[in-house]
Amino acid sequence: MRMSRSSLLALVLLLLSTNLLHAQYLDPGTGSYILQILLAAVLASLFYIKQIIAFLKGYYKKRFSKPSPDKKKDE
Amino acid sequence: MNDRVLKGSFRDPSGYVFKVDGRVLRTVSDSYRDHYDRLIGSGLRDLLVKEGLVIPFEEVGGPSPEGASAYKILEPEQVPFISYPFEWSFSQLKDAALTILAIQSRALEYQMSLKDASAYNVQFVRGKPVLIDILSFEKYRDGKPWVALRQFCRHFLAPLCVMSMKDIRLGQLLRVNVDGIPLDLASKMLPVRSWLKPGLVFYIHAHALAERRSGPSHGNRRITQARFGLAAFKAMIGQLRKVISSLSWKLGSTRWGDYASQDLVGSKYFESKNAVISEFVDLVKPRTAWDMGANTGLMSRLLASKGVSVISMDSDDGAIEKNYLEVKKSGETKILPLLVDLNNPSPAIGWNNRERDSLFERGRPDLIVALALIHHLAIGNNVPLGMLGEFFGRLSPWLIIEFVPKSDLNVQTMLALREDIFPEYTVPDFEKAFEPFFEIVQKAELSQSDRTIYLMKRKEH
Repeated sequence: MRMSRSSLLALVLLLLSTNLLHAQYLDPGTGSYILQILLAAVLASLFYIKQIIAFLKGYYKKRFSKPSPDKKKDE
Repeated sequence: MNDRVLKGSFRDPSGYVFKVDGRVLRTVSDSYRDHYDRLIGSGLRDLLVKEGLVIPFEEVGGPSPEGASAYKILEPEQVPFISYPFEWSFSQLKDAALTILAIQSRALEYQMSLKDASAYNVQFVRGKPVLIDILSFEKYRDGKPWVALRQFCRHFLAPLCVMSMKDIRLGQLLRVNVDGIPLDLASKMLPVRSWLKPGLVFYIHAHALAERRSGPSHGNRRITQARFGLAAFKAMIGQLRKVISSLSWKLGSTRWGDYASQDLVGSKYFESKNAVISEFVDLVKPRTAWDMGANTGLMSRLLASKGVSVISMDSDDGAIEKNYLEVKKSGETKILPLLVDLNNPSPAIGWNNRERDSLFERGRPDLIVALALIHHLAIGNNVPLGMLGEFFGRLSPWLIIEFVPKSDLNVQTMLALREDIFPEYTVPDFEKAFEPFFEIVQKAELSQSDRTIYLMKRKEH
C-alpha cells in the first residue's frame, strides 16, 4: 500500500514536471535552473538596493546640501 | 534511420540532417513549425545571416529521405570541413563562444532564444565562426531560465577557463567529454585565484555546487515554476560575454609557436623551399590541401594565395593560436587552422562511435603538403616509412613531402640521447618505401640544406 502510494506520487510529479518543462529535448539541469533563479533574485535585490540608495541620496541632497539664500542671511 | 541521415543528427526532434548527392540538407519537422515560422517571420534569420552569425540557407523542395512529411527541407550553405572544438585553438573556441552569446542576445530582442549551445553547432566558414544548426532557436518562453546555460558553460566557459588559468592542453578534455567538461571537474582544477573572478565563482564554482546539491530535474515544481525575467536573462548574457571576453591565454610558452618566424624566414633555404612548392602547386592545381605540420601556417598562406582552400594542421597549441590570430587579422578566408596530432588524430566519438566522425572520415584533400614533418613521425614516433607511404596514399592523390635526412641538425638532436634504430632512414630507403603507393613526379634539392622535396602522385591500382 505504502509502495503504491509513493509510486503514484512519483508518477504525478513526473507528469507535472514534463508538462512544466515544455518537453525540452536538452536536460537543462536543476542546478542551472536554481543558479539562474538565484541570479534573478540577486539582480532584483541589487536593483532595489540601488533604488533605495538613490532615494536616500536624493532625500539628503534636498534636505542638507542646498540651503536657501534666506537661511544664509539668517545665519 | 535512413542511411543518408547523418549519424550525429539524432538528438533534437526538431529535424535532422541528411545528404543527397553530396549536398547536406536539413528537414524541419512539423513539431518545430511555430518556432521556424517565428525565426523567419520576425526577421531574426535575415539579421543573423546578414551579420554573418548564422549560416545562410534556402528552403528547397523535395521529399525527406524517410518519405515522411517534413514541414520544410532546407539547404544551408555547404561547410567545406567540419571541425570539432578540441581541434580549435584558445581564440577559436573563445570566438565561437562569443558568437553563441551574440546570437542569443539578438534572439532575445526578437522574442526567441537558443535551446541548445553546443560547440559542435559552430563551424568556421571563411575564417569566421558561424552557427550551423538552424533549428537551435525556439520561441522565448516568458519567465523561463535559459535551458542551454549548463551546456554553454560545459562546452565553452569551463574549457576556456581551465585552458586560460591552468594549462592550455586541458582543452583536450573536450575529446573525452563529448558534452563538454563537467563543471565540478572544472571547479576542482581551477586555481585559487579563480575565486577572485566573480563570473567564475558564479558560473563555474557555484554552478558546480548547485549541480551537486540538486537531484535530477524531474519533479521539483518549486524550481520549474520560479520566474526568471527577461531583464535578468539579458543581464546574464551580458555577464557571460564579459566573463568570456576577460579570459585570455598568453602565447609564447609553447615549443613551435616561434619556430618559423625566428630562424627561417628570409633565409636562402626558405626562399628556395617557397619557389619549389610554388612550382609544384601550380602543376597540381589543387582545390583543397591539408598542410600537415603547418606550424604557424607560412606555407598554408602561400597555398591560399594561389586560391587553394587549406586546412593548416599542427599539434602545437601556440602555433595554431598564432595561425588563427593571423587569419583573423588579415581577414584570410581560405585557411582553417586546426590542432591535430598526427600521432594520435581525432577519433570517432559519441554514441555508437558515430556521433562525431574521426578526422579522416570528415574529408579528403586534393593535395597533402608535409614539410619538415617526416622525421617527427618516423624517428619521433618510430613509424616505419612504408606505413607513412600507405597513410598519405590513403588520404590524398597528390603529395608534396620533404625528406629530412639524418645529417640534418634537427634529426641529430632527436637522436642525440637515444640509440639509432633507424638504419633504413635514408633517401633511397624512403623512395623505396613510398614506391608501392606513389610515383615521384619531381624532386628538388633545397639550398643550404640536405633536405629534398618531392612531388608525388598516387598510383591508382
